[in-house]
Amino acid sequence: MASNDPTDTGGLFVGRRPGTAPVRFPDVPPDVSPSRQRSDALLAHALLALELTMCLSLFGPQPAAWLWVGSQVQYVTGYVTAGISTIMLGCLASLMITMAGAKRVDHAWKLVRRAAGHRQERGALERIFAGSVGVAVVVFGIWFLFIQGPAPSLAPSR
Amino acid sequence: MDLFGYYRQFDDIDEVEMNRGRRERRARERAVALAQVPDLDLSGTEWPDMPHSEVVNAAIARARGRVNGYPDRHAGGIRRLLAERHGVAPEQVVLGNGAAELLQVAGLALLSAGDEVVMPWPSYPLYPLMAARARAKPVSVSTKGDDAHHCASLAGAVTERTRALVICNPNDPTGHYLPAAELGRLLAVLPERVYVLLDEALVHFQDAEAQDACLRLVDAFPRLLVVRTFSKVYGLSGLRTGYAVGTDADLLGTIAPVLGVNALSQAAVEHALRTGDDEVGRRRESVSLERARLLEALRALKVDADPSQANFIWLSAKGVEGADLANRLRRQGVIVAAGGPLGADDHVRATVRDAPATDRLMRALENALGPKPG
Repeated sequence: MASNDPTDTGGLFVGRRPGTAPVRFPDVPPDVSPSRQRSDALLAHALLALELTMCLSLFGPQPAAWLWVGSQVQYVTGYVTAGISTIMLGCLASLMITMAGAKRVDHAWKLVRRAAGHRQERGALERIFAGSVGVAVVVFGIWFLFIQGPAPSLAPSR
Repeated sequence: MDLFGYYRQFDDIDEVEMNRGRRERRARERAVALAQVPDLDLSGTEWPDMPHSEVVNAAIARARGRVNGYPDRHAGGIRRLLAERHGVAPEQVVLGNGAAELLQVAGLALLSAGDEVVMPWPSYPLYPLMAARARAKPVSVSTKGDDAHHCASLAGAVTERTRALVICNPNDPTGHYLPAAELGRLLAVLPERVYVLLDEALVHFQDAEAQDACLRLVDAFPRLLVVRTFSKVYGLSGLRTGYAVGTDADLLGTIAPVLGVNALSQAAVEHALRTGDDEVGRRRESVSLERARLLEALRALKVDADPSQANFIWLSAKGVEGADLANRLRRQGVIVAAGGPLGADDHVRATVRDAPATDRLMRALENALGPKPG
């Protein structure tokens, strides 16, 4: 029986370090047509675009929608606190729901990519989310610096 | 299959499911292993078990070190260890890439075209090849009778053209051991120009006299070169390491590898020399015990087997060719080396291993030949 203790093996690990096992999934069946694989590749792109859209929506459309809902709540109830609470809780809830949905889409993307013949071991959600944060920061920067302009105390326009 | 079902088949395979498949495969393998008894290979002369794990670890540890640099080309540490062990000066020891390589280089250094190399026969098949590579002529001497007659036959075969004698001691494949006293007498009568290359690859298995009895003759006979190996009792055949002991500094300098032996082999050999004596002792004892038991048991069968001082026995059955006997044993699931390529068509060479192997060889011989009549 081989030992996996590095002190017994001259510093070598015998076997695999924990957590580094390869992901295993079935190969594409041999009877799948190339056209099916091409359509799966297109579908995978569409799912990736949907995932990106969902992530991007977290940084603009969804907060904007909740600001509108919050303003309506404040108008109806007459309480500022109710409006702010609605915005905060709503943003949080929609963030969680969107991410849960994006995770499912990401999983579907992974399976479709595999169906298209790619050795897709991991999903793309982390990278998509990081990318969408980058896009949001850039768009906000452009809006802030060039469209809206900084606040008067920072850069008085007149 | 519905649309989602089609894609779901590409999902990660659950570890539990993977293990279920592995367990099923292992069960099938186990069933096959139980149904089939693998052949017992008794045809080789190297040690059948893996080397000690610490010896392997030493080589692995060296492999993870500075292998980008050259190793110690003089193998100073190992030569000191060997010199201390054999009671010679470190300058008298040369480490090489296996005993065969050292013998071959010694042959090339000593022999010229047309020279003769005398060797007892049957013996290790490398020797005639070694002579041929040096464009020398191998002179095989059939050696029968007692040791004195054995030496007289060898000395009698020496002519004006003889430049070297090659003696495998204990001899492969016969297992015959030439004691130091007889060897000393042979060396004393040889002409000045004749070198003796003494191949002691199997010397650890002899229990006739002290391990270094013949090696000690190097001080008295400068034309004696003793070659040993780590391939047999040390079980390091794959690392190709051996050494030579002698007193002819020119010859020793010539046969030494130009840039030495590789670092991994050096590490393993050094560790084996420092810590392996107990294991070597156990192996020697086990072979000695099983060899005696096997030779005793063979008396009850229709085979002739000479006394052996090696880790194999050289046996023959009257009226049965060696190849035929090897085939019959093969059908019984025991593989032995047919004697033809080793120098005697009517013999086979069977390696001595552990008690179960001895029992199985005995059963196979009994089935192949039947018991001795009367």
